Amino acid sequence: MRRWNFISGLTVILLLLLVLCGFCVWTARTLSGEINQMISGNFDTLRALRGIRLAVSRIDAQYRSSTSTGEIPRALGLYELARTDVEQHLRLVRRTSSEEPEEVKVVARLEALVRDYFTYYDEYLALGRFEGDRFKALTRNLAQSAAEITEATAVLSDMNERDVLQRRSQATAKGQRVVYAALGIALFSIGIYVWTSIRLTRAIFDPLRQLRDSIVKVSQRQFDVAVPVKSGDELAQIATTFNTMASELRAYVAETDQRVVEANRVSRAILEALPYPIYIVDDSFAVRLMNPRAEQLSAALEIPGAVPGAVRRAIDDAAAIGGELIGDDLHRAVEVALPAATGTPATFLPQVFRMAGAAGVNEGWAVLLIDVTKLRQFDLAKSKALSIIGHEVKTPVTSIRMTLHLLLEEKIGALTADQRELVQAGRDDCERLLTVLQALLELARFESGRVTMRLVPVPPGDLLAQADAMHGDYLRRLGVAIVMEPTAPTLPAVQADAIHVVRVLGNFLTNAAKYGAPDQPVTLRAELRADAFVRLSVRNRTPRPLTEAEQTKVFEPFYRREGEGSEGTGLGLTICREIAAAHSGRVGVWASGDWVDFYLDLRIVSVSQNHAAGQPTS
Amino acid sequence: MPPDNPLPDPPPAPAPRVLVVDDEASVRLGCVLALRSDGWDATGEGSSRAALERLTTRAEHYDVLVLDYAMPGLNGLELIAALDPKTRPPILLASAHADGAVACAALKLGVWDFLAKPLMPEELRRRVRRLLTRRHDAKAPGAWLARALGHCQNCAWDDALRELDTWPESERQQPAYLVTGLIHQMTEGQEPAAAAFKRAQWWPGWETQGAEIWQELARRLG
Repeated sequence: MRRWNFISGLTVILLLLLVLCGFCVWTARTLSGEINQMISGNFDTLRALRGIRLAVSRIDAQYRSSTSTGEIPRALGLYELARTDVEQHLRLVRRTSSEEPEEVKVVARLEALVRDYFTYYDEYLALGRFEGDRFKALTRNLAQSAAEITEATAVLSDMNERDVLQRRSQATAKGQRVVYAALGIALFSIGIYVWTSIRLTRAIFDPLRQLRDSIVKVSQRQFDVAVPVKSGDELAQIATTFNTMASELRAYVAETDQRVVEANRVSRAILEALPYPIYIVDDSFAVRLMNPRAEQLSAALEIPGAVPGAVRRAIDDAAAIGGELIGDDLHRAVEVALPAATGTPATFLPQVFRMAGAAGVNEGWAVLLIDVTKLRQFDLAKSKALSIIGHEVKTPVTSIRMTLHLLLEEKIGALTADQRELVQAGRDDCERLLTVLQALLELARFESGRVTMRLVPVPPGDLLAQADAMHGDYLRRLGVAIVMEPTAPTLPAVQADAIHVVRVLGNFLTNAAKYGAPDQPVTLRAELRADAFVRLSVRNRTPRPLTEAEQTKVFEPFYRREGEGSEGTGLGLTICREIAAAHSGRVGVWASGDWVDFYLDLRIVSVSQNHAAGQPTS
Repeated sequence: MPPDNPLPDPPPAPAPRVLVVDDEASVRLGCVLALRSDGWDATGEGSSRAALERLTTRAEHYDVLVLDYAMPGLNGLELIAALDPKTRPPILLASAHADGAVACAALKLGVWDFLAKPLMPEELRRRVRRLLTRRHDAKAPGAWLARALGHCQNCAWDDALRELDTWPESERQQPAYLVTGLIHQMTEGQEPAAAAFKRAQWWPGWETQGAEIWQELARRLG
């Protein structure tokens, strides 16, 4: 419909313009034809009348005015020529003159006068002399005829000039009429244009405005909108499409809402069913959500609706390492002291999850407090039991050892050779058993968190040097050289308890000497890692490369590689791992071909810690 | 010809007496045998209460006491606390597990010598010998540290500090600063303690480090 309106409006305008153009062309052509005919007719007539007058004057001047010779000129060439000229002009006048009766009458009179004029002239030329009565009479007649011819031509000239003026007036009037007609058609076209424009504007912009308003509503999540469809044109198609889209969107949103509600219900059910407190907080520790267990915990701590300090500290720790804090490392467990009336202290292992938004921006934290009170109690009980059992076993072992040492001193009595050999074997076994016991007890102390590190800033190069100084001789006695790579002077200091770190490096070095390729040096090196750690590593060649599976197990307690002897406690690397954990560091091993690389990563000292260098850290 | 009336040999000096108190019979016997084989007059006692009776009621004299920490009834520290610090002999405390609290309590009781178990005969002899030697050394001029440690053994902290203060600064040996710091720390003088520890290049984790304090003391005191 809108298209028909548009096309019909344009067609009417086009037709009107065509009519206007045609009318103008026709009018111009008509006027130019009339003017041309009028001008050419009148002009020919006027020229012919002037020619007649000139010819008559020439004849009179040649044959009647010169009387000095007394004889009329005998040469008649000019006369004949002028006469022919007059007759031709007369014919032209007759042909071009109008058919107005008055003009027809004047032309007839002019023809009669010309005829009389030449009749008189023929007779006059036949006289031969300017004398006699006849000559006088003919002279009078000729003068009168010439005067009358001149008068008649003048009359005809006036008539033609009047005719020209009249036709000009007519042309002017006709031109004005054409102008008025063109103006009328133009005005009519403008009217049609305005009318069409208004119709079109309403037809196009009103639906567009409705569409826009509907889109705004949809953007404001008001999906129950519909754009009216009034016709079948493109706008209607757009409106139909929009309505379909809005309808689908409404259905989708309803479905999504349903899913969200469902997911929310499931999440809430999970949160409520979980036996552990969960806190969901924003960056400023304001609680956004907590499950009933968390509400109970906060209430028990007499901070209803707020986050316990342990949770804030766990989030702070996670933020410090720029990520999440998850895992089952019981070293991270925190004890929450509940009011005496509420119950005994509880131990929780916080799991901190970072909640990132669409753009990766941190939008808060979810903290799950796994209740490890019992696990911790079991762990402590295990450590305690291990400790007690260890001591119970260790005590007699140490006394046996002391006894054997005393016997071997032979200060309280001499031994036979066989007795000495037997006692020596017993002492060696005793030493080995005691070493294992001590390692087990030490591991138990580490696991129970009873070992604290005295962390102070130490240059990594010093740690390598100390390890070399303490263990170099032992390796050299085994024929193994230590190559210490120079450390970069810009290498930052690390937080370390030097005694324990040197012990770890010593363990790596002695392992390298024991299990490495003979006559191959061991390399000690320190390098900066990108993640704020310095890596201290011991690198050497080995005749039996570590497999992938072995690399994952070497730090486990009592792990021994197949085919290896039972020397050592099997706990050395496990204790190294505990020492690393007590430094908030890490240990690991890489193997590539026959190269093996044991490393200890220690945290570098921050600027603020550097300023406080010299102060111990536990 | 031998002289007719040779001078008689001087009576042998009585062997120093050591009382070993340990509830573990085998350890006790080992210690006693190790010390006896070194010329000590060593006696073993398996009960801390019986040992207390020997030292107080029966007023038996000993030059050195070797005490186990973990014992039923009175433990080593409780036994020490029951003795008069001014008259008791020097004490060597032996333990398999000394934590910070034990070390702190022992130092406050004037026990500055510790031996980690398991015991080795030679180390036991050396440490007992050192205790006795220190007592003899304390009489010599210039033995400020030995005298100060003697005062510490008697819990006479002011006397110990005064003794250390009389030690000329130019001759003062580094262990003096460690001892000074520990005395200040026990007597609530935290600032002078910190200053002394700084000079001793020692940053103790008081109440947290046990064996480390003992080891450091033993190492620095020789």
